[in-house]
Amino acid sequence: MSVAQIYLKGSNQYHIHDKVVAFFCFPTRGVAIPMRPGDFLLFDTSLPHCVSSRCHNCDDIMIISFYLKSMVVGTNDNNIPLTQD
Amino acid sequence: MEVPHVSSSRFGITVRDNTGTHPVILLPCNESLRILPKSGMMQIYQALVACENLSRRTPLVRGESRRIYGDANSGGTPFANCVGVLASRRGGVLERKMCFNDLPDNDWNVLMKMTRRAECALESFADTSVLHQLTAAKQVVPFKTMSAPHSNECVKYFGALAFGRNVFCDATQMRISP
Repeated sequence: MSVAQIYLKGSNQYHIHDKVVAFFCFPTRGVAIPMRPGDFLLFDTSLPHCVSSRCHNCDDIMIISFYLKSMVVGTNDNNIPLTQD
Repeated sequence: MEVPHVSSSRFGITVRDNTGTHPVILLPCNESLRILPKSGMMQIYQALVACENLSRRTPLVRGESRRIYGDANSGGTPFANCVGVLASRRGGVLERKMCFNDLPDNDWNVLMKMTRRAECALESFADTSVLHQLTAAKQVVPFKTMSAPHSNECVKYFGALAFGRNVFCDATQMRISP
């Protein structure tokens, strides 16, 4: 699972009533999740996903995603012998 | 496409699949705000801008299947990059891209703290099966996670973070190699 967030330039504190800045979409599930600044979205990356353009042209947003790749978990090394585990 | 509406800051959004697991979880706004640093959000934004300035601008096309776009007035060419562990083309895993070794310690500190906060969100809201899978994998394979260059500390689960300013992208999907 990955975690996605959006930060808004010029805003030091985020609030409950902040406006939606972009949508995180899952086309195969037909869902677009409205994202406010600072919202944490956990999602399974094997599900097709994409992010919309910003809702307001005056905003400057930074989209960030924290992830772990299976290639990193596998250490990208085919010389490691397989074990029963 | 459905856009779920959240009526209260105490509620989040989940998407449930046939097996009962939740592949999509938006934390309640209250919880997100609780996890965020009380010292303010400008530090993390500025740390990411510092990363942006250090990295080389490369075309944001990863073959025909994946493209990243930017708005017309987003201030130049669209830009996205990743900080943290990555698979090397020569085999093995690199701690980070060379250019990020020059990132000031203070910015690294901010990025590490924010990654830990994301892990806190994951531990609090992800399905138990996901956490079991991660901890079991870590016991079997000592895989690398994100770490700062001049520190022995590393985060628990995440290898890296990707970021982009005013970007949007085609639908993408991570496929697990056979």
